[in-house]
Amino acid sequence: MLDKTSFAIETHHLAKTFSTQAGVIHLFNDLSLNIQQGESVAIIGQSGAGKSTLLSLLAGLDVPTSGTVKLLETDLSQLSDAERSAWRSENLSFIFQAFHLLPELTALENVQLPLDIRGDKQAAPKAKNLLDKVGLSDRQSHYPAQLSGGEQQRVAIARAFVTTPSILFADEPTGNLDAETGENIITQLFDINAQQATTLVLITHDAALASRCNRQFRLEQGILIEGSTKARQVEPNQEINKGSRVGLAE
Amino acid sequence: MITTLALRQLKAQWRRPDGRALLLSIFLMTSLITLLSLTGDRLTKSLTIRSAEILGADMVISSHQPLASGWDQTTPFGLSTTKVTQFTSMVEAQDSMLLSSIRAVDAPYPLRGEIVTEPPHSMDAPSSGTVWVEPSVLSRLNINIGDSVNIGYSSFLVERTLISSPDRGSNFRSFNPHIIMSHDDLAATKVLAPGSRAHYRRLFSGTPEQITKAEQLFRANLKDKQQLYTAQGDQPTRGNAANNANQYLKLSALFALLLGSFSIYLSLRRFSADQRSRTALLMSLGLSRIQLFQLFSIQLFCGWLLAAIPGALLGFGLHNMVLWKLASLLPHPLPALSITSLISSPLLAGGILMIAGLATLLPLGKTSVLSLIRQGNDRPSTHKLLFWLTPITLFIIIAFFVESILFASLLTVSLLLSGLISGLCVQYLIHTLNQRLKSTVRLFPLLTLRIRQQRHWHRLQGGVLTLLLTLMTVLLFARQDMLSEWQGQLPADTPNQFVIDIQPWEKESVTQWLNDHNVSSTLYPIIRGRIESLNGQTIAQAFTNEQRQHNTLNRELNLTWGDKIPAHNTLEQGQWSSADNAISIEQSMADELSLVLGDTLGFRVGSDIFSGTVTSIRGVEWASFRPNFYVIFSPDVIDQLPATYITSFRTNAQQKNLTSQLLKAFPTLTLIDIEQLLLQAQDLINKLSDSASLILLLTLLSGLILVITTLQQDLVQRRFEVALLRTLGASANQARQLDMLEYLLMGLSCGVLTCIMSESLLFLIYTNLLKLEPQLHPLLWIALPTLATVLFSLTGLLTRKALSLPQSYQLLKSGD
Repeated sequence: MLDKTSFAIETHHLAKTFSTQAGVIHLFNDLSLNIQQGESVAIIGQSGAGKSTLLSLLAGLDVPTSGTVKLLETDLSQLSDAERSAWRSENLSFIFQAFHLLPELTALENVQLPLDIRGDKQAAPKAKNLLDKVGLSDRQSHYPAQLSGGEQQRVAIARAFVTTPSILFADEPTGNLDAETGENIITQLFDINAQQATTLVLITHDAALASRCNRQFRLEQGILIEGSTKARQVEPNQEINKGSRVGLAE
Repeated sequence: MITTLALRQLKAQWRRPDGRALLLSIFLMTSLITLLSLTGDRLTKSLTIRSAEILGADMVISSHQPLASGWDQTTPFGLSTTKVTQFTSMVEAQDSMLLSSIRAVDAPYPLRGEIVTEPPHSMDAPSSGTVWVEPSVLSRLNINIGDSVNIGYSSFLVERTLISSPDRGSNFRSFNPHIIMSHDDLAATKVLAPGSRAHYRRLFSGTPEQITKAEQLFRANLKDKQQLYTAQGDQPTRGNAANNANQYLKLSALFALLLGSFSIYLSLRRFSADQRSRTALLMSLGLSRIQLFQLFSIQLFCGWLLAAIPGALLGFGLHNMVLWKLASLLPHPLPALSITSLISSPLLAGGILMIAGLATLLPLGKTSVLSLIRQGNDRPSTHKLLFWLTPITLFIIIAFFVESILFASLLTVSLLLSGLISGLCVQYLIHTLNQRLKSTVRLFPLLTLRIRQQRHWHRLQGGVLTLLLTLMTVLLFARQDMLSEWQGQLPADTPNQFVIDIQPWEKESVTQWLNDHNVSSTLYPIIRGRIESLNGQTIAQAFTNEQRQHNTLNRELNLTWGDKIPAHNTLEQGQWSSADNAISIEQSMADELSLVLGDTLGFRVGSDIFSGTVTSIRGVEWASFRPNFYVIFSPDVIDQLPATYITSFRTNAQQKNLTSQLLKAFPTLTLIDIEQLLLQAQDLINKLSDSASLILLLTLLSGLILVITTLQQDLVQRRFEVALLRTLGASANQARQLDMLEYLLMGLSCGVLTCIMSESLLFLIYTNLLKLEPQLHPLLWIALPTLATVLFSLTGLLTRKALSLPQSYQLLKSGD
């Protein structure tokens, strides 16, 4: 049942502590989590629980105080700064709460940008294709300022998928949108995710949104608890998940 | 792709006020530096050429004794050389006589500049038996071209009219009508005998290197009473005009560079802060650091092209405007511009942009994608080494540009120091003014908060603006007052005509003539002599090196005698004495040479030696336009020596013809029209200060750009603050009032401080430099605070954007 090569994200005994004036804060200690390729995982928790910090550790953006993170079999901490950046751009994509589109570029150009940076000759058709998928084929030449919030996030989704990443990290992707728009966007996000078989790590505080993922984790007082009140299906790899229920040791 | 993105970003940047401020500061700095360096380059070259033209050579050795014949043959280093003997003599034609300044010259003459004659000539000098004379010689002798004049025992054909000529000599002799003759004819006139008063000069010309080498050699071998002038350096007529002008231009350049660099640095810092999330995004999309570096380099390069090239062009245009203004002071054709001075300014701006860019944008490479997920605490740390290296490198560039590390350091330190002090004063004033508003303004608590929060920027803005406004005010008023007040303060009967060379036998008749024409005047005898000793010690023993440079010791003095102190002098010490060998000396001479009552000075006039004991010290108003003397003898000491007389008087508008009648009646007199000279001086000062004002105005503009840039620095914070106020219930009006109150306080404080500083500086300038009655300028007290407030409000309004309530919510919610 355990096929190690199929893990997209593999963490062992992660710990993250911060020094503040009030003393040392242990955000989490000895946290382990394995996510298989193509799986979608939601991490929910209240504000300040450390969701974003966990995401940044999983994405190799931040360095854990101790423990290891392996993404697609690669230990990013063993890579140089430049190698790490290159690896990330090759394999990871992000969707942010605040969209982060470049205001001086059109929708199409924004989607095209990551391919352009790599020098992909097929950038334009690939970007158009993605914009079609998010239903914005008629908005290609619009600037972000001319798009609604929902449309902007759809452009951001198209941009995230255009590089066909192995892993996609989405940080509160509907946080800046109203419920209905958010719902539509999430549907699109999951559709494309399924088509491209991308591993999705979704950070949210919205339980309904989290329930759309294959697995749900709740980050609470430094402990990652698997399962949510609205789990819709039986987890395929229950045994592994047990190992991930770890929290503060002391 | 990177290029497209960079250009797009640049275009977007242009729409932002801080982007515009960056481009504007590069633009203004380049145009100012171009203007200053081009003008400086041209001015130095022009004044050297002009000086050479006035000297008629690159270097001159002059003496009252015939120069040893050795000079004739010695033309080391391949210099060209020629000799001139200048003397004053009576010339006569058809029973008319005229005292003239005659130059006997060897061909070629002059070595620099040219003699303009009518009809034009193509000769190196007048040929033997002919003379060239100034038009006044013709009119006053009542002769024409082709007639003859007698000089001493020889007769000469007047061949040409002399329109202009270099090498006119200095002192009073240059005011007589000029005549140029051939040196070959000099001996035959028998005008000069041993002991005759004449000026012997040898002129040299060559390349600057040749002149420098020869100058060193000649100076080492210079004999007593021989003097050496060069066109580049010290010379009697021009003083250090070129040097002063250059210092002014350098000072302005330094100011412009400091302001410009600071604006550019601050704009880039702001730019860099804005780029953080964008950089994080681009990096999350796979942009490498090298590509990031390229992205910003292209933007900076394009920004430089956009701003520095037009800036240099504007500078070039302004430079031509200044030249046009100064045209009459500069030689024609103008010396060519060097390529380096033309391209150095845009390059300099590029260098500053690059260094400031590196310091502010390099840390962006350390931006983490993390900042897109977690807002706030992810600020790329500034590079410590770069942070300190930036000002040092900038300073080295600036010092290199103004060509003197000492000058640059002194000025930078004093500018920064005075800026800092003014900044602190402005801050204090704002604080004080704010306290006054406590009970009257409802927004007082918010205003106090704002002032505390913005105090660093207030200090900088206040310091810069106060300093600039003060300089501007002082320049403007000192010039205006110097011209108008000076003339206004002179008594109505201040003489406007000087008459010199009145011979002893003409004394009575000239006095009578002037009396007959209702002109009051006093004639003073003049005897030329030198101070030789003090209390029996030679000058070398009695005085320090510095004292020996004093006017009274390094040249012949005009001595006079009388039986009382002249009415326009004041007695400062001692008593006027008519005792034998008593002398009265002038106050500043006594001070500077440390002379006291009872000291005995030894004099030499020709071959006569005699002495005088100081019995009184007089105050002399040198600007009174009356004959003034350092030394006045009691009667019976030097009366027997040959003297000429000098007087001054005033003619009014109805007496225009009086002077020409006087000259007709007494053809040997020399007349100096002071009013004419004053008008010329006024014209000169006007032209120079107009150019100086233009330069200062541009500097003020760069100062304003700096103020705008500093207002940009906290714009995000200000917008948050306004958004917060708005959502907490403040009306848009109140938010605006808060801003306006802040600008008002800033403007008032800067204005008040500028008033105090300008008035004090003007007071010092009046009392110490211009020697005028100091006066207050009430107009300034209203105008300056108003001007400063308007400037702040305008720049504030340029950067401020009104926020609607929904916008405020959005801003606070998104944190963008």
